[in-house]
Amino acid sequence: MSVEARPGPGDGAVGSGGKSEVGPGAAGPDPVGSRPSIDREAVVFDLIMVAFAALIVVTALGIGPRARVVPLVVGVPTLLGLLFLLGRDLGIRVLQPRPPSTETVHSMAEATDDLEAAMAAALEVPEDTPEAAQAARRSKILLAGWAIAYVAGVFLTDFLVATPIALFAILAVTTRRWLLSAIVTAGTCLFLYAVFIMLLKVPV
Amino acid sequence: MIDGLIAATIELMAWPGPAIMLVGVLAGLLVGVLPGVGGAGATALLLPVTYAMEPVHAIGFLMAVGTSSGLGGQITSILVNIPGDPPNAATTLDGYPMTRQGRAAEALGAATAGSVVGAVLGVVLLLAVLPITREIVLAFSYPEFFMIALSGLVMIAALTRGNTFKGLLSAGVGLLIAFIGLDPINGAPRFTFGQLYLWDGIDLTPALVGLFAGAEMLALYQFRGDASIVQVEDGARRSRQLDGVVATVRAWRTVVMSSLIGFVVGVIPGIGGTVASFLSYGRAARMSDHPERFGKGAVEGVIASETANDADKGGALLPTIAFGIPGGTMMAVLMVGLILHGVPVGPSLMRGDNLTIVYALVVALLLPRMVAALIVLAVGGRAVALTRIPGSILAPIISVVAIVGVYAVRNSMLDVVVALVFSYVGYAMQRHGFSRVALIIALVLGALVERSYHQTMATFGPAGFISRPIAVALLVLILLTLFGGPLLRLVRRIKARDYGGTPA
Repeated sequence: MSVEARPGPGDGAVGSGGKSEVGPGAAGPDPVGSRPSIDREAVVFDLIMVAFAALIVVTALGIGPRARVVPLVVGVPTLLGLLFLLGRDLGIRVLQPRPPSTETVHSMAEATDDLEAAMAAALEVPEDTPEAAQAARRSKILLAGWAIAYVAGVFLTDFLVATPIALFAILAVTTRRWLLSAIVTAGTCLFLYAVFIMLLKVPV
Repeated sequence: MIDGLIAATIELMAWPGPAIMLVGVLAGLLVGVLPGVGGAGATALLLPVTYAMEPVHAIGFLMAVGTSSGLGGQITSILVNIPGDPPNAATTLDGYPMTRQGRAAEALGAATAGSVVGAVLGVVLLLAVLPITREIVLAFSYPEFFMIALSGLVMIAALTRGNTFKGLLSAGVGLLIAFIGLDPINGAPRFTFGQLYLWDGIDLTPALVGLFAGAEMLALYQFRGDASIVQVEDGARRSRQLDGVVATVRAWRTVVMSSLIGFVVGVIPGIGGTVASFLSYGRAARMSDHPERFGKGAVEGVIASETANDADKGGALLPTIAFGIPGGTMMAVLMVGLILHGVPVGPSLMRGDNLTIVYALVVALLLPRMVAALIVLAVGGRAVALTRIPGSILAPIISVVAIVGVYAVRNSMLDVVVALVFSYVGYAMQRHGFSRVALIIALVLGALVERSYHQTMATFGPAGFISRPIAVALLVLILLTLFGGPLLRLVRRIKARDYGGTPA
């Protein structure tokens, strides 16, 4: 059982959301002698988390002795663990790699009968083709750009102005159906107005 | 006691009591469906509405809003993987996979039935324990709070089996985020980097909405632009809500145990329904004959979390009325409401004429939830239609609703920025096998861990952790959770070697 059940590269099982070991590009426990490929996205995420943990640990060293004790007790092992993970994702091996365990094979065998794992696999496969990978990249850039533009829009104009515009923009760009986008945006805004302003009297 | 309960029911049902409670139920359900606001937030927002009401009707209204929101929150947790209320987060773990398998109605039926039974058992336990309340709460002190918080974290790490290392790292990062804000010793800003916004720490609502709702919407938008959430064959059999109700009856052991967990966690102030539902979920998974199904659409997972979430409120009411110590955020808001209406809270509430108020609170804890459950059973199935909407349309709408919900809590645009940042963090965690649950639970428990550690050291010294029976029992439980499995495997291996066999 796994609560989050999102195993990722190198974690020994296939699940929804996490990249499957069986898929190309996974940096899991590969057969002895083969060269592990590096998952760049995973490395970047590891780096971000290492930077955050390091920032907390370094900052903790400069505060009062009693106020820093718990953050350091948690922060130092977390930082070391993240560094170990980063090294592992970069393909640095301290110990000799073990051959694939029967547990992994068991999980993979189970996954064939598992609907969610099958769906996860279906989600991951398109990205493995150059066109799909490019589409996914485009989608990521679009979403990141949308989020930045939205936040900038709120600070430049107003929350109540920027929010409907942002909703209409993302719908219009995605669906390419202007009328539908306008109707959905208007409907959503009306719903939000009725709930938050009329019913709950929230000073939005 | 029975006479008191009957009298309180009559008083609550005196016109316009039923109408007021019905409005409260509808508002609670609606707010529950909207991610971000939550039951406590909605109760606080609607507090001014009760000024003109009789105290007993105000109690009915506030309880209706606060308790119904969980039932509303379960709808979005199951259908679109968005916990409307933080305690519904555990429901998403199996509720959403069930939706993706075309079993949304079954999940809704199970969650509703579990909620109702949990609420009833929670109230029964409350009434049973009420006379001995003082002794129970006084038995818990700082070391016990510390151990309770620690056991919550260890439990989550143990639950992310097959990925324990990343589970622990996720919990570690969650704790580090929780330490941002004023330090509990001197009240000086810590890890705030000169930002006034960070003085209060990272608020749970935007973090929760981002990690769960935002990340899921990013994934939905990116991978399923023109497809709906449900990915089953058109001809496949669709589940019914009755299936979920039947499943709840069959899982009676899970229901009883989850109610007990929910109630006990609820009694302990400051922990709340989110921890109760995750603890109960974890216990159900560990005790299940099929633990491998959990996280992949196990109906017992939905039942466990929703039952505990609703039983928790019975427990949370106990310290609120007996000691004036709110058992949770919702109870804190309710306490403010009681004070506004001139109702004394604390030990004096348990005496004389004020007992009517206690019974009114107990009845109001149960009655609106029955109505809310009927509404969910009647129209919840229709809400399944939400899952047929293409991801490219649904994802932006839900994102904007979530953003407005997050913004509405404090009218802070920085909360929205935090939610957006956590959306990307949650998305990356999901993609790379980290545990979002461990992170959020650490974020919930972080303050309690640190505060109770310092309080224990100041009050009892280091010996406090190992000299009090309940704390020691909890410590043993933690050690068994962490090392019980490996030790058992080691013993088996040694035994197998001694007998010349092969290890299992």
